[in-house]
Amino acid sequence: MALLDPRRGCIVIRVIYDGPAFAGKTTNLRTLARSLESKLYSGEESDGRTLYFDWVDYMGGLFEGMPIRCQIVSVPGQRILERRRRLLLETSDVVVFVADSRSERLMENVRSFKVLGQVLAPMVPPVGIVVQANKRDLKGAITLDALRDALDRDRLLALTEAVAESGEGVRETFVLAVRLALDRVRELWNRKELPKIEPGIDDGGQLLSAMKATEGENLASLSSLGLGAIERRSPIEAAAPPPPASPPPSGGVPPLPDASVPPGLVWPPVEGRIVVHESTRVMTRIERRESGDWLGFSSEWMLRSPLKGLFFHLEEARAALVSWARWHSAVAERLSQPRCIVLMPEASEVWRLWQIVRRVPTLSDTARELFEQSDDLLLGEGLFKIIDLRLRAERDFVTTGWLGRLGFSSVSVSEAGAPLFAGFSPYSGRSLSTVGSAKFDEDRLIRDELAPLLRGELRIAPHRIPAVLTSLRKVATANRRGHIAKSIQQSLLGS
Amino acid sequence: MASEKEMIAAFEGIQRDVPGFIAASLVDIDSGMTLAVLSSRTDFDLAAASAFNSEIVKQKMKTIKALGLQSKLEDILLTLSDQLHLIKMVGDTSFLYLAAEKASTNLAIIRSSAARHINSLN
Repeated sequence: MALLDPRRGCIVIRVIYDGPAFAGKTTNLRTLARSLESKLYSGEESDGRTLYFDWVDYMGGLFEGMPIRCQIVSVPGQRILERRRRLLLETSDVVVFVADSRSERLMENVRSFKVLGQVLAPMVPPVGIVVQANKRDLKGAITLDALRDALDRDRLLALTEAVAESGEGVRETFVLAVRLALDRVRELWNRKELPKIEPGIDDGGQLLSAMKATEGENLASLSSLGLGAIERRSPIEAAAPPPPASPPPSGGVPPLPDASVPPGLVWPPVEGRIVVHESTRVMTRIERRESGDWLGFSSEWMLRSPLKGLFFHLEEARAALVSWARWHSAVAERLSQPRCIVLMPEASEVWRLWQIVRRVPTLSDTARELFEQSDDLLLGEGLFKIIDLRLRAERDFVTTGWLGRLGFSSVSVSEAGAPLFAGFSPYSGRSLSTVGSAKFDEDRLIRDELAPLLRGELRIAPHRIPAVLTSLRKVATANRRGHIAKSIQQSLLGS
Repeated sequence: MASEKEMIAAFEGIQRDVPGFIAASLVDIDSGMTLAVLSSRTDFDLAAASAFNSEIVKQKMKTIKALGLQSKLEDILLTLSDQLHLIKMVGDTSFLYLAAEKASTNLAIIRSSAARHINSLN
């Protein structure tokens, strides 16, 4: 947990290097220590394997004018030392997950990453993760996309490449991790929750003593492993916003969000910055719609700035960001992830709100894939599932008044099989408690939305219609929803 | 972005070009952390200098915005009594920081060497 050390006048953060055994955690720290001209302290080892941790202490960089002291700690990777690993992870401000890129190590990476997610899940503010794909020089190294998909397809990951043995990518990974940690510090700072105390653990020796002291106890004494002994706490004032003063610009394509977005203007604070980092790595085409909205697209991401998202006063802009962030928080479980909102400075006294959403497979995409396969029975079953999800989404999102409009191309599916909204969140979003709803009209949905979709897909194979309808009727009847099949048949065939 | 190894090789090229070379670093603007360093003097605290220079860059960027300029910061040249310092933007998120003895070189040499070696990495 980060803190402000009043005696040294510095910010103290803990960067944890995690990952399965032999992934390269200790090698990273060894290389980093050499590169940063710091000393490496290793708690205890056995046959070259870390039993407790490795520790590097480094002072560098600045946060709000104060030096940053990084306690860089690697955890033991052996499964039998899982408890020690968890204890250390719970004290982190950012985690570098070192993954072994060799294909035969993939399952170990996946298992270890899953545990990491479980440990970090309850932490507030969230702890950022940088995944370092190490050993990129070895034969059989899997692609980054394959690694990303294996670790967590639905979660956004900041990914770097490295050959820790030679030092390649080590420092870059570390600096990215520090940036994420600082986002967390900023969040604590803004909430006035950054402790102003001296660190209880000041070096590797003290950490080793503290960890040994907790061994054999039923409950780990986390505060003894944390950065700060709980002593004096005093509130930290959030930094005042900068005072600009100039007229707004006119016309032109606005600058897209990028890594230069100032601190405190991205939501969610840690994952959002990763979203910005990832989404701006690829070229995006940008266009202005008739509505006045700006839209940007790439193969993986979509960006939108609503017409009303332009501001000429920072406080008003911040208030809009906070309000929109609250809306997102309230309905998070209904939204596809990852996504973020960003307040980007455009010129002096001009700020623009952006929304960045990762493209995910929608019901439209699923329907198209279904029509590519030749089994009409499977097609009918698949179509029923899609229709059912679409109808559920309409009932849950539109009829309740939460969203105004939906379509097959803006609904995706969660892992649990529930519908998710995958489009751009409405800017003047309504809360879930909004009263005033649209009438749920199933027939209209089928007639005006589903039937045209089916007609479009089936026009190249009209001979499939009877078989598809038969299959759909069978599935719908089995689910006591026979009227759906009837509606579709009427819409398609007029009878 | 170029790797640390490539950056250090570029710094070594600058060191060969610039008489009186003291130190060079690639610095992350947001955190002030160094991404690559090369120093010929142990008494020159490059990490601290890099961090404080990141504050200079941030303030300069704020100044540009406050003036309503549409320009982008390219570099900052600083003349001290016995040293010359160059801060050259590398992308949107980092900068090169270069220090040299004033008596041995001049701003033109520093600037052209930095441009040549850093631009060749892009």
